[in-house]
Amino acid sequence: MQAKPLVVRDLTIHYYTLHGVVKAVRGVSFAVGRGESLCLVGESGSGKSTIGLAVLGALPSNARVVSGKILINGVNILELSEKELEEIRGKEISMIFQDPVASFNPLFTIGQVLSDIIKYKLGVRDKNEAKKLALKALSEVGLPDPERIYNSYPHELSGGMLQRAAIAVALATRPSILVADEPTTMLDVTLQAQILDLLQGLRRKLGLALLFITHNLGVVAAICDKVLVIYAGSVVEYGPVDEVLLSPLHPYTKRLIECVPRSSVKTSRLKYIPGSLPDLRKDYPGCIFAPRCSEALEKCSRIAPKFVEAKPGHFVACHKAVKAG
Amino acid sequence: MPVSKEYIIKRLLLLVLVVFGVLIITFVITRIIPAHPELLWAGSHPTEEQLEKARRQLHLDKPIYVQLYYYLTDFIKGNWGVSWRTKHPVLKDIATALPATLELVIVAFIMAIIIGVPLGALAALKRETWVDHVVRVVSVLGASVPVFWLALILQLVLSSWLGLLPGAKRVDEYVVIETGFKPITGFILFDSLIQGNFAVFTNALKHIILPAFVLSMYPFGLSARMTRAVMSEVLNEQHTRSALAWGLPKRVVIYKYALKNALAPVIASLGLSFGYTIIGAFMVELVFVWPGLGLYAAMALLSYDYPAVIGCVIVVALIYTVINMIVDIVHSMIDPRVKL
Ligand SMILES: Nc1ncnc2c1ncn2[C@@H]1O[C@H](COP(=O)(O)OP(=O)(O)OP(=O)(O)O)[C@@H](O)[C@H]1O
Ligand code: SF4
Ligand SMILES: [Mg+2]
Repeated sequence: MQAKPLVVRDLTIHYYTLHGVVKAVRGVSFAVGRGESLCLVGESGSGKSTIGLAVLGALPSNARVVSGKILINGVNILELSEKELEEIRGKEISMIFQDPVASFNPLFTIGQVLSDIIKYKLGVRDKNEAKKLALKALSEVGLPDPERIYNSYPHELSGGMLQRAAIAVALATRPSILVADEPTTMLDVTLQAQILDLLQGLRRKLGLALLFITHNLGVVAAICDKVLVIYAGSVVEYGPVDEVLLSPLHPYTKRLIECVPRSSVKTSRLKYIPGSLPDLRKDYPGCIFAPRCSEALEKCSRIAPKFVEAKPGHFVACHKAVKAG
Repeated sequence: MPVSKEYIIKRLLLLVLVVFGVLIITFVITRIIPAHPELLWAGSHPTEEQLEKARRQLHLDKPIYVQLYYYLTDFIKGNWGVSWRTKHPVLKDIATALPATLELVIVAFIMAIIIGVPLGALAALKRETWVDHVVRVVSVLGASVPVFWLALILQLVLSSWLGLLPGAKRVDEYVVIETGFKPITGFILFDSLIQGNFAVFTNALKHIILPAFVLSMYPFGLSARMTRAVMSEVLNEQHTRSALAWGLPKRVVIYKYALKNALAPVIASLGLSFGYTIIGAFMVELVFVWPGLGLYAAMALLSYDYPAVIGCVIVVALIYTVINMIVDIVHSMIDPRVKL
């Protein structure tokens, strides 16, 4: 069997700050296959973006990967030099971000960025050839009038168009993996759906391994095959999207789902999970969710639950859920 | 170039306004405040004849507004008066002196940018390392060292003691005479280069190194500090991270993309520092006997040469406005969001 494009094993990441060491990611493992999409879900601050950046070898300078492996097409990128990482970025893995406007340098046209990437990553030196490829990449993401977009500066385009352009830039070099960090959060609803459709289509067409980061479960339902629920840097639940959304096992996942605003239920205020994320500088001997868990058992704060397969293909880390299941 | 007609018109109007303002101010200072304005015009120890001539030239027998009318129209016609000291028309003196100053300032700015911007960028890349600290110390020293003092020290050490570089004048006369060099624009480096006169070129180059170096210290310090500040900001922006994530090589992201973001503020601050640089140029010219506007103005001031002083004030005001316009235009060329 061919190795999956992206495999992450037991990843642990710390941030070194003036106020102490923030243990942002605590032993996370997952894999994404060809043409597959995996969603990372969790509250703000749970470590989703940190994982996304780590996978690109692009963590901020105050972050350290303490342990674990990140295999991209079989190669552990944590053992690569900065030069070798630069080689892999764009070619084997690329990324799009939350803010499409801020993603582009205001002083360069979309075409200049695209052409540079094509020049440096695909080695196309011929200007006309590079432009042809760039226009092709732009029309591939459904942008009308690629010639105009090519010559436009970011401030001349809308957020939706820029996010499409970002996708074009990220995929122009045909990476096998795409990390999308909340790519629709800043767009309005109709645009969100269009971008999700586009990503979905490209994933199928190009056989992309898609790592999709979001805190919006509605988006999860629209785009993912598998879901990985993260709480305070730890994986609490993993499984196929229908399983996790329709019969969640972990109390945290259940709360997350309850918090999704539903048009059928009229509520005057937005629901949220009581309590807040734990102090990520501390270690927790038991279940890290215990202080906020309404179903906590006596042993929960003492003994950490194991991550086990409760149902076929559906994993959870919770004493209660495993006992019940 | 995204420069609109309105902008050009606005700027030209501003130019006229500035010159008009300066003319009014100089008129008030030299004609209305003094009890006997003709004394300022007739030179030292004037004869009654000379005074009479000056009175006639200044139209002192006529009402103030008529005097002002003649003052303004004379200026527009290019009759800027005759310098007492040189006995030449002021406009002609200035036309000879100005290229020398501009050449000096331009070379100094080029030196400042060529050294300052890469050093600032390097400091931003190596933040809080010894490289950063060294660049900081050097650029703060550069921006704060007294020009006059540095000029004298360098002249003394490198020129007088070690004899490495000439310490006065723009070019040695004997080279000019031997090679039959004829200036065209007054920019000696440029003129000698297009005439293929390398003897004059190298000689002039040797002469300009010391004064230009001294003059470049302030803009150098400024551009290094500015570049470092803006670069550190830009390197932390999302578009830098995106470009790296998309696989652009780091050197391209830094030296092609981020550096361009840093350029506009650096050029703007250099433009704003121009006033300071002109004052520096006056001192540098005094020390290095550089036959430019600074030396001319200094001599004019010391000898109460009013027509010459007024001429210099007007030219400096003009240059200042033009520099600001150039800064604006360069900014609009760098940043597509800026529409003039
Ligand atoms: N550069 C940094 N330095 C120090 N701490 C950081 C840094 N970046 C993130 N953190 C911390 O690491 C934790 C995880 O942050 P991360 O950005 O990965 O969360 P996230 O799940 O992406 O949240 P969001 O939904 O808000 O984007 C947070 O507690 C955050 O404060
Ligand atoms: S292990 Fe205990 S505290 Fe943690 S989620 Fe399950 S029930 Fe709640
Ligand atoms: Mg995030």
